[in-house]
Amino acid sequence: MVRFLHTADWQIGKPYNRLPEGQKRFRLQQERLQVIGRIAAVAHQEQVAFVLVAGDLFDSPTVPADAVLEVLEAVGTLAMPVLVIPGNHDHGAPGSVWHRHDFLRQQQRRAPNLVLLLERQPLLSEAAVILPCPLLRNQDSADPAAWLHSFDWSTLPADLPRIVLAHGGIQGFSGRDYGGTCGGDEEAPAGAVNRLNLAAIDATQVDYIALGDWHNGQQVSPKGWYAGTPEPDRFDQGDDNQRGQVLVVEVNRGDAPQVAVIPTGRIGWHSLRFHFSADNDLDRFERLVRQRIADRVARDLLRLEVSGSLSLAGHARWNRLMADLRDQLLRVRVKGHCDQAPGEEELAALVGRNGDPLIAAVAQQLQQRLQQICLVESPQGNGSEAAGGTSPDPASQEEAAILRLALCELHRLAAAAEA
Amino acid sequence: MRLLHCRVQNVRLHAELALRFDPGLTLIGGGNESGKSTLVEALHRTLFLKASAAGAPVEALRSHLHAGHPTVEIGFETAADRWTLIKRFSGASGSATLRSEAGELLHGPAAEERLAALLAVGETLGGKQMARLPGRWAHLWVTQGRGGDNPLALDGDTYELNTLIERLEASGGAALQSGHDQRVAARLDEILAETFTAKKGEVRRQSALWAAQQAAHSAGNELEQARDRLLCFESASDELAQLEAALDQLQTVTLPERESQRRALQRAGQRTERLRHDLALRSRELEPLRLQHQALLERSSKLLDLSSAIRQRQQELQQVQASVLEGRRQQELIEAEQQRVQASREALAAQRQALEQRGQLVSRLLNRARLESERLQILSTLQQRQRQAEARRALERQLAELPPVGEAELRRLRDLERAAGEARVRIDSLAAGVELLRSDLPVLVNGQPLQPGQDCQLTQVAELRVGEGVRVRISPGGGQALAEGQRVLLERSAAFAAALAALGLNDLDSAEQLALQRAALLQQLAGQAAGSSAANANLESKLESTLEERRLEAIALDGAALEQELESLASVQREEEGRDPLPCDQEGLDRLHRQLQQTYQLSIAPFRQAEQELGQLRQRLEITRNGLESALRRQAQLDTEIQLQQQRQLELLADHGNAEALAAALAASAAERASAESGLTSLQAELTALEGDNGPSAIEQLDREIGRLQEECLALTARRGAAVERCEAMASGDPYAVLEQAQALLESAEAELASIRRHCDARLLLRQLFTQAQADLSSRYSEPLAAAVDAYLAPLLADAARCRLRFDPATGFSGLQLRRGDAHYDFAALSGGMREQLSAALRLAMADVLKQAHGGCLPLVFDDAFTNSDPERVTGLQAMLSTAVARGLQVILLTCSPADYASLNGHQIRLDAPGQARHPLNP
Repeated sequence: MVRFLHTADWQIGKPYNRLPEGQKRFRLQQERLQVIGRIAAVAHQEQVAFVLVAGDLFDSPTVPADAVLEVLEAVGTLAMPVLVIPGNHDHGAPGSVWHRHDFLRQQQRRAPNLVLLLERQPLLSEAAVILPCPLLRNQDSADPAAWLHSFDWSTLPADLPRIVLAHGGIQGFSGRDYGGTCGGDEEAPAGAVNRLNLAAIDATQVDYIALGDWHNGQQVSPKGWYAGTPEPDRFDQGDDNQRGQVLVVEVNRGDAPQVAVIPTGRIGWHSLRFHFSADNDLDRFERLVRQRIADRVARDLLRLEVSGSLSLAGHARWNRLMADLRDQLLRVRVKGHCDQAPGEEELAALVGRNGDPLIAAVAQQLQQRLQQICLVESPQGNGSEAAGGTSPDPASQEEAAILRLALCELHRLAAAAEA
Repeated sequence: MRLLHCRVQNVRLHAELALRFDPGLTLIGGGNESGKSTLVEALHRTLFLKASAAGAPVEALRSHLHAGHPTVEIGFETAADRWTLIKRFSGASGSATLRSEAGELLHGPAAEERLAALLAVGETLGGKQMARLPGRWAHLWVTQGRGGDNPLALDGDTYELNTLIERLEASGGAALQSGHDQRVAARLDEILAETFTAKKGEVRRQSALWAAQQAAHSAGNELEQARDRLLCFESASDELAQLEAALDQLQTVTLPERESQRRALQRAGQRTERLRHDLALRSRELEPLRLQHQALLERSSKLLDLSSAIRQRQQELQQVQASVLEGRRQQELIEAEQQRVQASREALAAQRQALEQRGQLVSRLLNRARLESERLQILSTLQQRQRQAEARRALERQLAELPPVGEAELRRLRDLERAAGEARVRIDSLAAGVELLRSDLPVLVNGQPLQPGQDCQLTQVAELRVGEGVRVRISPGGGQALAEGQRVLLERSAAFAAALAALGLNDLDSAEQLALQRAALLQQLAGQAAGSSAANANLESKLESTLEERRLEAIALDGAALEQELESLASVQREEEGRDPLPCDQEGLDRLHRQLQQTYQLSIAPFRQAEQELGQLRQRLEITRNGLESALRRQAQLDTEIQLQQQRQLELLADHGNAEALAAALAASAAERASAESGLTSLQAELTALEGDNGPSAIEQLDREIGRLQEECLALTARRGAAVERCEAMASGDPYAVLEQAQALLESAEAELASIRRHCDARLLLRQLFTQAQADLSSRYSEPLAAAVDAYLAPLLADAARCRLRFDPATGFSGLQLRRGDAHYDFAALSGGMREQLSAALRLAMADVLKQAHGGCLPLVFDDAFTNSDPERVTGLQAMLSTAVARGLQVILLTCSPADYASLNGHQIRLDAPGQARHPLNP
């Protein structure tokens, strides 16, 4: 019986370029390093024999030298072997970080317990046999575990548990599932490269398949598990996301593995869809956000998919709300538009300007056009989040947005002229 | 405002003119120069000019007939009050008084100011402002000649545009854009002008939209660069991977393989060396065996050769001996035959010689006979020729004796005779003829009597005597010519006679006879010449005679030679004549000669055959003799050879005793040699197999290849070092992170651009809607006014004509058009009459709208305003004016033909009627 810790996709050095503020970016980057400390704590607490990192330890094969140093220092604190294979982000091609002089030198000095597996051949230890499937090319269409398809298993000790260590998508997941579930924040969906064919490996001959690449933890076969990333780095796609954890695994030769999920994540990545049909939807929206984030500061990121529109006053409140959230959170990413359109009263004030016939006539025109589009797009108004249903025609949506904007502009100009 | 009355003093022709105006229509009639227009001008200037004004408009009012300053009094009412205005135009001292019924009394500037307020014109005009005078109420008052003007061509201020708009809005519920509207629209334009150029609507440089576009563009470029950089890194990385793989392949596979090959080759080389040594040894051992066997083989084969050679020679000897016997027999046979043929040949030769001698004799005799005959022939020819020459000479003598009368002489004689004849005829033609027919008296001519019936010719003056008493001189015609003719006749007759005498002839006939005789002789001579053998020349015949003489000499010589030869053959001749007498004539000899020739020819063939046969026999004999001799020599040679070979055979067999022993020794030697050779062959095969490609050259080649591979290793290592460096250099900027950053930048730039663009689109939409709304608004003003114009025009136009005009808040009304049928015509394109009527209708319609601002009434003045209108339209015009009056307007119509408007219900005034000028102010 051997007990070990399975993790993957640390993605150290991820730049988080889409965060506009440098401080917050740094915060996220730091969190990815600090999670190693938390992993170390779990490893010690769970008394595991070794740690398996199933690829993508670094975010890129050209990660900066300071990030390398920090990783090595952190790994060095684990008083046990840390077995690492390169993944698609930090593939093992010559010229990549794994071959760099700074890495090789510093690894010897700071993390001699880090075992880099660049060859596809069994690694025998006292407790287990590790069968590494490192990715050695950036875009390799070959299955990195192909060497196990026709492996002569009789060459291995019969009593030691056999653990496959691999990185990549697996056959059986459709590209959409894979990309959609894992895509998160602007991550390009993985293609057909590095696809693993687990079915081709004799299941009776292995005891556990430690997988990396998919950032959500999930069991994909009786013996195959994705560990997920220990610290989330993308917006979640649903409630059942298993992110921010490591797996502690107990395995015996010939027995089913015992897997325990231990949370390690600290940063909250939230996704929210919301449709505004009236100003009082703002209250509901605030409540929802509070449910998710409570009053935490600088520990969460929020992705909002908004639609609908608010009155000018409502929109002003929305803007204040957004500003507050941007202060409180590491990032607020808004997709779609919460359009502003004069509310009924505001509109009536524009249209009903008897003294200003031009403004009134123009406002009326805009309003009529807007109503026509709205009638075509959604015969019955539906005002709550995730109520999109049929997706509206983008062209007419854009036209409606422009009409609303024109109304707002007219409102603003009229108010300014009066002042 | 309504005019009530007026009093005009000292204004041009008017000393004093007082008028009362009807509240509705006032018709002022008067002929030309009756002062209608002066009246209108006086009223207009009084209302709108300052009393203190100076200049042309004021000067124009001044009267040259009447003393005193122009002074005008006007009574009018407004909504609130009735007013009397009095202005005296006396330059700077001019006075203005305004008094109301309510008791208000104003003077000077105060009066002017109040007046302007009452008329709603801002101010009365003076000084420099006077240029504006014609514009005052130009939309209401039509001065003479301006009836066809377009009121909308006036400035908006002139026709009280703002008041018009206000009234239109007040009456029709229309609303013009407010100031607030305008400010918003202007602000919108300003905002848009910050982003777009006014002319082409292009995006302005440095505007926010432009900046966003630039930012998006440069972010796109940066993304491209980041991608390129990443590609560079990846390709460098790939290259490094390939280098490593190649190096690995070289170091772990190719080089070790080559080295093991080299070792194997070296081992093979050593084995080869050993084999070669063995081979050399064996080869040396084999050599004596081979020699021994060779010697035995040679000896054995020599013995065999010798036996067969002896056998051959013995056979040949037998054949040679037989041929010797045969040769000898043949020789004898040929010799006998030769003797026989020799004898027959000699007999034939003797016979031939006798024949030859006979032939020669006959031939000589024949020649002699021929020569004799030729000699005789030549002699006869010579004699004949001599005879011919004599005959010719006789003829030539005869010819010489005759006088030389030829053809030419004869012709000349004839010519002379004819010339004399002609001269005579000429004289005869000139002569006078006299014929005596009957006379009883003697008649004498020149003394010669003339008988009756006789005539005579007179060629010269002659005397005719008849009897004694009559003497007549007759002169023939021609005068001088007759004498000349006689002279010529004498000359020619003398010449003819002389010619005859020169030839010794009497007359022409004898000359002709002589000529004939000569010709006959010449012909005869010619015929003889042709008859002689050589024809023409004596010289030639002479030459021939000479040749023939020479030939005779030759024949004589030949004859002599022949005689000698005949003498030598005399014995033959005798012998011959003894046998048979020889013929003497040529023919007989000839025949005998031919006979002898034939006999000789026949004897030639047998002689030659005998000679030929003899030659052949000699040759055969020679051949037979030679063959016999060579056979005898060969026989001796063969005997010797056989002896020698038999001797040698014995010598060869001497070492081995006999042939069987020799064969056994040979077999043993062959076996020994074969075994040694097979051992050698197997060694050779082994060596060949080893040597193959693996010779020293193969090792050298392999060494070279190993060297090359090692160099390649070094080169690859160097390249790998460079590639590693390049990779690290490129990786140092973390190209993946840079790419991600560039993508993020592009996204935010594009989002920003989209947002700005959307704002711009919204503003553009707003401006478009504003412009559209402004256009919509304008029609709300133009349409009611047009409808009012249409109402006024209705009585004038049978069809439902409609007018159209445009309104623009900035520039006012414009674009006045009239629709006739389906087409719209611009005001300027209408006829003069139609322009007057449309203009009047528009003025009335405007006044209709404006009147509310003027106390419910406005006065309109038409001074000869319808001069171009048809008389048929007058009724319509009247209806139009009546409508205006009915709607509360005041109309003052000034016309030269007041009768046209007589039916109008209104106050009528005639300026040219006496006493009319002093019309009481208060009726």
